[in-house]
Parts: sequence; C-alpha cells; structure tokens
Amino acid sequence: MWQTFLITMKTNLREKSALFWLFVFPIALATMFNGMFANLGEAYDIHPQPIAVVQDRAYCANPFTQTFITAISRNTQQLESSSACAPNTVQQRPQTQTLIDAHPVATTHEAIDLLKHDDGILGYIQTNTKGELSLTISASTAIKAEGIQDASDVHTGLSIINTALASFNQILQGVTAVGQQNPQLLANPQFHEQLIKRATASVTHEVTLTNFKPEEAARFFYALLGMAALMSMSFAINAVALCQANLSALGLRRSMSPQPKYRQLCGIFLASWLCCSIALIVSVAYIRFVCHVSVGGREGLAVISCIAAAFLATAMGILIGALPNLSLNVKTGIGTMLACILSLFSGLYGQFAMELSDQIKRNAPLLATLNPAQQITDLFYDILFYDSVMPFLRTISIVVGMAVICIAGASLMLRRHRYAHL
Amino acid sequence: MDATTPTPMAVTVQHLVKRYGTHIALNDLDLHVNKREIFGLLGPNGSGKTTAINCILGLLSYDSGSIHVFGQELTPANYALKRRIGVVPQDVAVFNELTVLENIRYFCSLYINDRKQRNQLVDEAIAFVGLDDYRKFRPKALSGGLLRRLNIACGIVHRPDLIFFDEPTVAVDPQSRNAILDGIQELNRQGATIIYTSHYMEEVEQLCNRIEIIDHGTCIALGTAEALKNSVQAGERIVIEAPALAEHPDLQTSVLQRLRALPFVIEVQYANTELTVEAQRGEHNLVDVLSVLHNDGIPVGHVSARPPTLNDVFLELTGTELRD
Repeated sequence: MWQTFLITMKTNLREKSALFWLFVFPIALATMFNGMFANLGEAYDIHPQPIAVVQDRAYCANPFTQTFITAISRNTQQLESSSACAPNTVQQRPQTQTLIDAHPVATTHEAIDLLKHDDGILGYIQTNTKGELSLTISASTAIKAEGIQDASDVHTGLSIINTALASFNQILQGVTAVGQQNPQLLANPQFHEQLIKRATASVTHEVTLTNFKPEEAARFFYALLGMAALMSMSFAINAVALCQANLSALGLRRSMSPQPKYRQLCGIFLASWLCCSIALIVSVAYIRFVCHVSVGGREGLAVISCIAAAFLATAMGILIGALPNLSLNVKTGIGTMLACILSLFSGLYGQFAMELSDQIKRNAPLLATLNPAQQITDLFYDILFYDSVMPFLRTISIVVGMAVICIAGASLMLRRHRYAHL
Repeated sequence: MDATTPTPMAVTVQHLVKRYGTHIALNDLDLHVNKREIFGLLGPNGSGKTTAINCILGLLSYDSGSIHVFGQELTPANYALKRRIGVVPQDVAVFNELTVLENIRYFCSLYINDRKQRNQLVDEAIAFVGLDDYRKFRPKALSGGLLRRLNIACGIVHRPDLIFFDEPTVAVDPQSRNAILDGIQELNRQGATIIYTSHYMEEVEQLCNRIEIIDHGTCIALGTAEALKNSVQAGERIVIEAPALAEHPDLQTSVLQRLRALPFVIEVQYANTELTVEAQRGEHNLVDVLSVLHNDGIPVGHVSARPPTLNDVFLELTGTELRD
C-alpha cells in the first residue's frame, strides 16, 4: 500500500495537465476574481467626492453653512485659506465623516467652468440667500453615477452628500423658525455648536452580527474553492482507472500482482486525498494572503475545511472512477461536467449564480444540501459568517457523510475481480 | 524423470467455453503447456487468443471448463500463485510519469517485500533488458524498442516461473526484436515457462517448442513447428519466372492444364510473369515441372523451390479471408 501511495503521489504531482487544472487554474481564476470583485466591498465605503464649493456672498453670510461645509470637507485648510469670507465664529470643527474633497471657487460661473472642463470635479455646492445648500452635478457625472458597477462609489458618495445637504437644510429651516421667535438664542455660541453637531451627526451606527467583518466578494472565492475541490476529483478518477484491468493495460498488470485490491485502492485513495488537500490548501493560501480574502482569522478551520473537501472530492472521484463500462475519457468528462454544473448552483459564475444559489437554499434546501459544491462552499462560508462553530460542524458532517456514501458505492463496484468483458 | 512420469504441466485448460451473449469466443478449448517450454499460441484476429489468456490469468470470467496453473486454480485471492506469474501485455503498461528505474522498482515492489532483494532484482532486470543507460529516462523519452524492453522488464523483474508474452515485438526494429527474442530464450533457459503469442510466424517458429493454432475459439492444430508443417497438404512451393507465357495466352492455358494434371500438384497459378506451383512432398517435383515447360520450349528465368513455412500452415488452416 505504501508503494502504491508513493507511486500515486508521484504520478499525480508529475502529471502536467492535472497540475494545471488543480493548482494553476484556481489561482488564475482567483486572480481574475480579485480584479473583478476588488471594488465590490469598497463600493459600500464612503469616499470624499471632488466637489466645488461656491464661496460667494451668500456662503460668507451664513456661518452655519460655512461650518457645515468645513465639517464635511477633507481639505479644510484649503477651504478656509481661499475663503474671502470673514473668520468663522464657530471655531470648533465637529468630528464627522468627510464627504467632500472641497474645491473652493468664488462664483457659480467659475464652478460651471470647472465642470465644463471636466477636471474631475463631479459637481458644486451652492448656498442660496437663506443659507440653504444645493448640490448640482454635471451631465457626465449623472451618466457615470447611473452607469456601470465601477461607478457605484460615485453614486453612493453623491447620494450621501445629497442626503446630508437635505438634512442640513431641514435643520436650518427649523433654526430659522426658532430664530424668528427667539433671536437671542441664535447669538449663543453653544447653540451654534449644538446645531452643527446635530447636523453632522450620524443617524445610524454600525452593528456587526459576527466576529468578523463580512466581505461581499468572499462568497465568490469560496464558490471557487468548491469548484477547485470538485475538479480535483480527476486525481482519483485517473488513479482508479490505472488499477482496473478493464480500463488499461497498466490496470491489467497491476491486477495480476499478488497485492490485494483493497490495499492498492487504499494507497490510491490516501495519495489522491493528500494531493487534493495540498491543491486546495495552496488555493486557500493564495486567496487568503494574496487576494486578502478573509477566513475570519480561523486559518486552522480553513485547513480542516480543505481536508474535508478533499475527502469528499476524492471519494466522488473514486466512485466515478469505479463506474463500469465507461472509458477513462468519459469518466473524466463526467467529473469535469459535475464540477462545472454543480458550481453554477453554488454561485460561482457571478451575481446571477449567487442569487440562484440563495434561491435554492431558501426554496429547495434539500437540493442545496445534496450539492457537494454547495457544501464545500458552505464549509468556508460557515467559518467566516458565523461566530459559532456549530454550522461548520454541521456542514462538515454532511460532507463526510456524502463521502462515506460515495466510498461505499465505489467499494461495491470495485470488489469485482473478474470481468465479463475486457 | 522416467518415461512413465507424466510431464508436469504449467498450464492446463480443459473444455473452456466463454460466451459473449450469443457469440461463442472460446468453444471447448483445450490447452496444455508443459513446464519450462516456450509455447506459441497462434490465431487470426478474433480467434480467441487474448480471451483464452485473460481467462487463464483469472481476469475474465468463463462459462464452463477448467483452468489450472501449476496444478492450482488461479483465483483472484491466490496470491502465492500470482507471485509465480509474469505478464508482458501487448500494450506497453508502464507509468509515463515515472522513470525507467521507478517503474521497474514499483512493479517489483508489488511482488517482493524485502528491499535488499528488490534492489538486486531491479538491477538484474535492468541489465537483462539492456536499459542501464536509461534508468533516469521517462517512457516518453524512450524509442519504441526501448519501451518494449521496459515493458518486458516490468513483467519479469520478480523472476516469475510462468511468463505470458503477448506480441512483445510489435513495432520494434530488427535489432530490438532480436534482443527481445534472445532475452526470452534466456529466460526459458533459466527455467521460466513461456506462453508466447505473435503474428510474426518466423518468431514463433524460431522460439517455440510447441505451437497451438486456435480459430473460432477452438484448437485446430497443435505440435512442434516441424510437425505442423508436415501435417498440411502443401509440401513444397515452386516458383518459376516464365515471362514468355504472358505473351502467349493459349500456350499459358495449355501449360497450366498439363501442370495441373501432374499427380503431385495441388494448385498452379500464373501471375506477374511468375508461375507458382503448390505441390505435395516429393523428391522430383521440380524436375517434372521444368520438363513440362522445356517440352513446350518455354524459356525460364529464376527458379526457386522451398518447403512450406509456418505462415503457409497458418494460412492453410485458418484461410486467407480477411478477419476483423
């Protein structure tokens, strides 16, 4: 068994096409995913947008407006140094999320010129005589914001700025009404501070339900690992074919040896399992350390997931390899077809596939449970998205159970020693 | 061993029947191979040779009959008996990803547990097939002849008592073929029993002590090469170059009629300016044939007369129609 194990290891690791599909292909796909989905998480982050701020007479006349704009600007100094306004009476700048990268301009015409030249300025903020703020964006920005996914950062940023301005205007209207009834209050600097604080305060706060920050793109990488695991079935399919007398001359020669068949099969299984595990661990390491996709700090569980996934893939490979009356090419084709099709339902092929996977999980959970690609994907998903290890243990028990069923089926087919046809 | 002691058998096959559905692949086949002999198994494609060998090796199930190897039934779990058998299949059965040394070492390890003994046997096998300079080569880097020799080394490395060679010289050059045939004879001299199948009649004739020809799953001839040649009707083939007959069709017809009338003549053909006469064994056949031509004043060129070959025997027994 030891010799068969060593030989199977050597043949697996020296077979160039297997190495490509099992080591290079997942890494290439992960690299592609990394390029495709790198901005997916960032789309939900708020980045300051380049916006011109018109510092005209109306702007200078309203200290609330100035303070608010300063509060949401990243480049405060530039804004204040270029301002023709009198020094602001509100000195303390409230701590808040910066929303704009302010480009001060003196007039609206100047702002429009900036937009026309398309110098990267998305729009401009203007103050009306009441001190209310409005955001105007260029036509090209409007197209960009409604366009492809890459521009979702712009879309999100502008929406937030617009909401912030609306909120400011609403508060300003309230203050104006209060001021008309109680003018002394407006002269109170503390009241000013409170107002600005209120206007720039976050109305939401982030709550995490897990120990780790979930990453939207991580699921695609996990689905990729599911596919990579199933592709590695080919190790076992090939290895089994090479020990069956009805499939190869090599199998005939090995069948004539005085080694019990189960010993050879054990050697083949262990070697294929190890090769498959190595291939998966390499893929996980690449995804974790090069693509920076988290496994929630549970690297140890990720390795266990790889070993469990490899166990299932090898068992499936042994089962397919043991199918009677089919050539090796047909069996390899079945393995590849299963890997590709089952990966569709585990969400590998983009957002549509991911939604399909979610639909199946919601509406036909049994189908999702029976999909080995989904279970392998879930192994990694459970690690990242759940605090408890119970979901992970549940998935791993399903994976091992499926593998045991495959091994039992393969054993029934491989117990034959004499064939009716050769 | 005295004359009354029966010759110990390496392989005994009796009344073997194997059916594929309605097709009978082996039809009451008998086969007896003595220990330490080189036994040739001949037959056209589809005659049942490979089926018979696979049944003997215990790989193929059969419908009835009995098979014994060294007096025992070769069941899948009879590992002691399997240790005594080596197989050199027609298709080269080695790992393409392993070197020559690794391949031979692996197949040896399936039979020999002791590492020291294994290393010695591997070295001997490599030396035997002349692959010393190619130990680190992978099969893809070997020529056809070297590949065949590797195939043989993997089958004989554990020093089996009974070796099956299934067309081991297919697609190899004459030098490699001679080396392979010499090697097989050497294995036999060292005590191995050989069962050899081939379509190269001259090889079988050169190597084998006894030959069995099977067709349609049945034994149709068995004996030494000489005995088989004597058993067939054709005893001599005379070929005479006579271009003049091609220029005179009437004369050609007349000559062919007179030749056919000769008592020892079996068949006469004229084609491509050559007259071919199949004759029974006789001492004056050539003289009598030449006399007929001389009487008609027909000039003759090159003349040859040869006894029948195993190929003639094979074709006479199995027919000349094409097989699958």
